[in-house]
Amino acid sequence: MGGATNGLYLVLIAGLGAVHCVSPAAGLAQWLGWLGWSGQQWRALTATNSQGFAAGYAVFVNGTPPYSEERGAADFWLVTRTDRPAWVTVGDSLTTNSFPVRAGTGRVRVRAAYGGPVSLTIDPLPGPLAELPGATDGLWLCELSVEPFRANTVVFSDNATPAVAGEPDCVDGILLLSPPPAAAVHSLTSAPPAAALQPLRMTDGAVTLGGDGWYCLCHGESCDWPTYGMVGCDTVSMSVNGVEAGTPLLPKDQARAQYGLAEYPLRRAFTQTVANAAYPFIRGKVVFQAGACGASGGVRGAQGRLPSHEPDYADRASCLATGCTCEGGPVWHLGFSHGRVNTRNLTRITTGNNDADSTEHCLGLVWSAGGKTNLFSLLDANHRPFRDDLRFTTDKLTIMDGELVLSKKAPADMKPVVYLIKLHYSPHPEFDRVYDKLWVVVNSPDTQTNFNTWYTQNSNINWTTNLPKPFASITFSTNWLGAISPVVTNLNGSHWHPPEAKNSYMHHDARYEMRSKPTAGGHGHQASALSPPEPPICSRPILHGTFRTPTQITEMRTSTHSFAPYNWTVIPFFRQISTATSTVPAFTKERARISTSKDAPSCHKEKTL
Amino acid sequence: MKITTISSVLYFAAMLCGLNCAGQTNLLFYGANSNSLCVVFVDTNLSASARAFIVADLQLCLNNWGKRTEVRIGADDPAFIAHLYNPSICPHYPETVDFPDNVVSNGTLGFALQIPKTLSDAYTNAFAFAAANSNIVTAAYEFVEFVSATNFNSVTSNQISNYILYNQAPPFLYQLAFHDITNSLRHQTYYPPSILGFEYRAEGPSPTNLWLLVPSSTRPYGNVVEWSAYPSAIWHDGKWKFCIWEENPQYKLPQ
Repeated sequence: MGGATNGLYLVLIAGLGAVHCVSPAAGLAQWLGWLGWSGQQWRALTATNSQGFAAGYAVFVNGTPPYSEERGAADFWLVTRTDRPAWVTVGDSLTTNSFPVRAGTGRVRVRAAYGGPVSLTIDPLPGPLAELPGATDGLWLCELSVEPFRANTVVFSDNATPAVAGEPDCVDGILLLSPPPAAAVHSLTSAPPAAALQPLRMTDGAVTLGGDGWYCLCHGESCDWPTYGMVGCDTVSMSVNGVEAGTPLLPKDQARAQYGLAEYPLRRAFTQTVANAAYPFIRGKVVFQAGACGASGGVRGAQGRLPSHEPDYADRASCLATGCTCEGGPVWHLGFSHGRVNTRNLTRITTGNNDADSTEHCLGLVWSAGGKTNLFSLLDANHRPFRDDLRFTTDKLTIMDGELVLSKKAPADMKPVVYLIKLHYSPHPEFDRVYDKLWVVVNSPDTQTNFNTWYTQNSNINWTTNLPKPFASITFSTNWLGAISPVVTNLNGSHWHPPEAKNSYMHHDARYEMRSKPTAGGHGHQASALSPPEPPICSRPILHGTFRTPTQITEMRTSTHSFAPYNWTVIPFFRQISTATSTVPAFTKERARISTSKDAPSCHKEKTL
Repeated sequence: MKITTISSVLYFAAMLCGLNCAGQTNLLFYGANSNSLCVVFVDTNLSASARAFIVADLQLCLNNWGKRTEVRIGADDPAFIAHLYNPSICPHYPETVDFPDNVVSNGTLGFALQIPKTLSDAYTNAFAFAAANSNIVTAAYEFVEFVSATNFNSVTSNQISNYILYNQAPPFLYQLAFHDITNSLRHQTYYPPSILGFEYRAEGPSPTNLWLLVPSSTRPYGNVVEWSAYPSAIWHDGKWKFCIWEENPQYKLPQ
């Protein structure tokens, strides 16, 4: 670029706005000639697309890895104000790209690779355009600045400490190694305005390492451990931070110390913030799970053996951690036998209490005067070599030599008393850990007696074999008034009464009902139906209500709020799950109506229920 | 089947009177054979009239529910030598209050049921409630007496909404549900409530609602007797009514 200073021109720039007052020698026609573009191509390729990229540049960005990956490179806005078209050149550690920008004020999104400095230049007279007569005469207006594209990116000068809005998981940085020139007016004979940037990144967003797996805390070198190289930390940032790709994100001995604070030897999640030492506002978040080496052998708690938490013994222990294949000596997982107590098979309703929310076993007992339960007999047999190192604790009852001594006071019917039993492993005074837990639900003898009475009276359902065969389906017809009704013909002499409209209020969506004629024992079907196109009447006749005696017909017709069927069916059900199969802490008849109550978490559902 | 063991209104009047009486023997009768048991109070500052009233209320609970109550020797807490056992939960009391069951030695008099201070404090608060709301409490006993009597059988479908409340139910529903309601209610046997059976809950048509635990029993099968306080009653429109209150009513009217 070259040319003399023009005093009048300076006044125009300052007072009237240079963009509209200057007619540079390298005008649009010259640019189009140099680029070989038509005017339409110029308008199309210098426009920005929906992503903010110049259309010509976007072809490269979207088609070339790592630029084509959303988080694969650093993005920023290049804001320009120029009185003539200019040629922008972006050079990073991988490649160099150029594209034109229009005269006027605008911004384009630029994407640069991590791993090295990024150079930016803006030239009003690229290539042969500088050779045009008078092309370098005068001055040109050109302002240049760099702005962050993402909310979690900061643009800053060395030694600056910018504020970061919000609390993003990671904060990326663009360090201005050589900021754009502050001056807005440049000589056309001088070197084009330029800037140099350094993209910095500690992690590629919030990073979860290892998926559902875990990293081994062992001292051996054979197992993987999270490092800076795994989290997308760019080489320059690592260098600035004084680390290398193989440097651990969290020293393993520090992780072991944190892990040791846990009450149970379970795997635990670590959330590690990695920060650039020189620019601490640049940071990243890494989440991973770690646990003790499974290959070390020895005695462990079944409760910590996920996901089955089942007691067992193995001659050789394997470490199944991520990137870890070592093996060790024999291993015992001690805990309650899954064959002798019930194991949770229902979705847990969490209570916020750690003990309640991590107990996987339950056992229903029926109270008896002086009753005892040998807790050792409930353990898996693999506990025997360690019996002297095991003990039980509970919150209310007495445990004598492993025997749970029931209280002298019997619980009331439908008000079982629930105790939490903890199995401790304590081979020496300095080591005492809970290896498994069990809910014991102690029920009133009346609960069992009442249930047995109900069962005796109701378990024989032979009477259902005498019931008439139900209809597989029934057609509906629409009469000339538009009314829809079920059609069943030839019922004379059959075992069924014709369908009738269901003017009840508690059968929810039921519109029609059809009953069989009572058999000799007074039994029959009661089936309800929805309106078409819902499933037709009698599709599942027994489930739709099969009544037993004429007197119960009235009861069963009553609503779900009727108290007779409630006592007939609901309460016996709860008696059964409490005494035989499940833990339902402290429910009552009222609470039994609210099965999702948070203070009455059911634990186990028996197959027979 | 409907039974009331005593006249409710007279009972309540007697209870209020009891607040001003003194010198009565604090003796409870329980079990099928009306065994007797002295009552002692942890709170030694409790007035004689208050003690008498508490004993009267305990007796009210034991009159029917206590037929299977028995004293059993032994207790988990060494401070006691026996405990009062009943196979079912007391339907007169709220869930959060346990019927007293700790039995202590009473010297030459034998055993005595000990009333903890928490329970006597609860009764003290209940007395204050009853004194301040005597008309409502009287109405409660009248309500229970009415639904226990044969007169309740003559309630018509047009009148049933005076005795039961469903949330958001239109008048038509009461007509429709009349037989279901009466069939259900007839299966229960009702008993006079405890003064502790009054409780405020958020459930109901108002931000705060006064409920009454109406003790009831039924024999669903065999010799099994189910005790319950369901349905409870609510004070609504100046009346006590059995109330079925669900946040999301499950009934669906015919289209």
